[in-house]
Amino acid sequence: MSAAFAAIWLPANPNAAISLAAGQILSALNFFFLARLVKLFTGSARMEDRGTAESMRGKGLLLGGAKLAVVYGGAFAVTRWRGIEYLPLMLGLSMPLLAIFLKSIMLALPAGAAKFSRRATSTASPSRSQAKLAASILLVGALTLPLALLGPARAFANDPPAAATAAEAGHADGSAAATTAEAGQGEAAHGEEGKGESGEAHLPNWITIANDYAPNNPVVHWMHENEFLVFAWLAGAIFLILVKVVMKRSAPVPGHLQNAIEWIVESMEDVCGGMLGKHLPKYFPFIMAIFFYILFMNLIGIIPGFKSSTSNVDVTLALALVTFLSVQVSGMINLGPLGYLDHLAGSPRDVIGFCMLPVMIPVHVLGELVKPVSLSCRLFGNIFGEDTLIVVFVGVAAFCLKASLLALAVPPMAGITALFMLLQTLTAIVQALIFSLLTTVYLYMMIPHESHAHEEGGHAH
Amino acid sequence: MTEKEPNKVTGWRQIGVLSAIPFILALAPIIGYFLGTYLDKKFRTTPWLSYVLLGLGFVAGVRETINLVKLAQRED
Amino acid sequence: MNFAATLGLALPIGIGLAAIGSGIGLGFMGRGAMEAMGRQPEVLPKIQVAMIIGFGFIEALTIYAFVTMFILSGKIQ
Repeated sequence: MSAAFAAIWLPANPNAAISLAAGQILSALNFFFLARLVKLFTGSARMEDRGTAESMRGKGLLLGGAKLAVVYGGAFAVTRWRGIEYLPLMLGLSMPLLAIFLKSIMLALPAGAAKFSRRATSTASPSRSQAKLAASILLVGALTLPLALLGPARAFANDPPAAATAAEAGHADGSAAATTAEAGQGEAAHGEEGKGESGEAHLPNWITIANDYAPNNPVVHWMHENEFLVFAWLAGAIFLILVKVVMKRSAPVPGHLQNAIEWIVESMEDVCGGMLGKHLPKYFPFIMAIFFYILFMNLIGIIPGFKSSTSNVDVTLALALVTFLSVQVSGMINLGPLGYLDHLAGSPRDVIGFCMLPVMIPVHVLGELVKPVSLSCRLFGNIFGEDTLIVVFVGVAAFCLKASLLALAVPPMAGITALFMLLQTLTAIVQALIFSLLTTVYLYMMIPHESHAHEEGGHAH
Repeated sequence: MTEKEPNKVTGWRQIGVLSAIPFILALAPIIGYFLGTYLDKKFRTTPWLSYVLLGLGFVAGVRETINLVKLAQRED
Repeated sequence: MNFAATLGLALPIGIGLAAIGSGIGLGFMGRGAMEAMGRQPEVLPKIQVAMIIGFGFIEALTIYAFVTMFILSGKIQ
């Protein structure tokens, strides 16, 4: 794969191709030595032959020295070379990292799931969760549609004022700022990590790179303008394919992937089931669809060269709008039109209640409006904040790489960035969980619950 | 183990629900304010509706917060 | 000193002050909650819930400052 990438770029830009290959080779060597070292220490620690401790230490020192000399020396030599291009180098460095990351996720998910598999298989039959997953597939498909309609609409609405006042584009979050920044930089965007002069900072992704190499292609240009939409579609497609594969191979004894997904579904059912009660089967596919969609959109941003589309306010607003509409419509269906109006008016039962009516209606409408906005703002803020943090650290590392003496500071900066990426993973999962959880809560507020209303008399909320 | 499992789930749910409080509390008056300015532009009653909706936004935020707290403290 | 310069000076200072204030408040609240938890571990869930609610109220003030900063920073041209 790597050789293919290098070969594609070779005729167009030999320097870039060589940098890419050098980065890949360096990274692969690094991982090779690291794996040897780890295997050496852990493997011999488990064995009881103490006699070879001396030789082990010697071998470890040798390997470590070789790793230091080859990898960092190589990196230093490469950075000193005149014709180096940093963007392909970084991409080459990140490509084996991407492979290892995906592999570790594949290994870690079943490992985490295996602990809970007994409970999962005992409590629910696989066919039930299959049906739910099928329903959630359909719902994700339905969910992508309003996004697809809403995203370009918002982008279109954003575009004219941004074109009118170029200063405004710095604060606009969508694709308009990206296009103006790219247009200002032109072909020479590879100098730094795609940091625009207007303060809008984002890491380069495949679409940006493709736009740099083929700026006049209309398809690439459209993808570049609506890159959030493209990545959202990508996340949905990945999820669809994953679930399709899992369901096609669904067995009574679940495999790794099926086990993982079933574990997620069962634990979410635990979390939501206590709240929704007997209404759970009706709303659970919708909640799970939202959860998986947001989760995949968040996690796709960690892979180098991709961007999490939830770091755009339009996307999160569209998601929250879907939630809002579903909550309101389910409220109208569950309570009936009159009951819904009654709920909106704060369910007046006495004279004081009717006197408070003109105050209570706007208060309730505002309370309903603030729910989706707070949901979208929280999701956007968290994901965008993490992205910006990582971009800033990568920018510092790239700056250090350009200066001569500061190149020594690159490995610690890369370590810090990796730590923040770990934090980003955690944030992605937690935010997806909280979004779906709050959706559950808002749905719960809208459904009639007999026991609770019975306790508190006329006060229903 | 089986005794403790629902308790843990409830705790996480509580934290998730309660962490929505600051956003709701802060954003409700702001949404009210913007809605008010929009309606003011439409009805040409410039400062008044935005101020009224700002105050109502405070009330709505506090009310939603109370609802959330009530919901979080309820045990299944 | 015109309007934009005043805003440009005041906004970072304002958001910094908001962060300092809410940090102090969170610190006091966390200290109180931790002491209460250490003294009476049997009412730990109640203290936790009250603590998180209080955190929410304090954080809301910071978000006010943040949103105000964003709104006003649009006026710097």
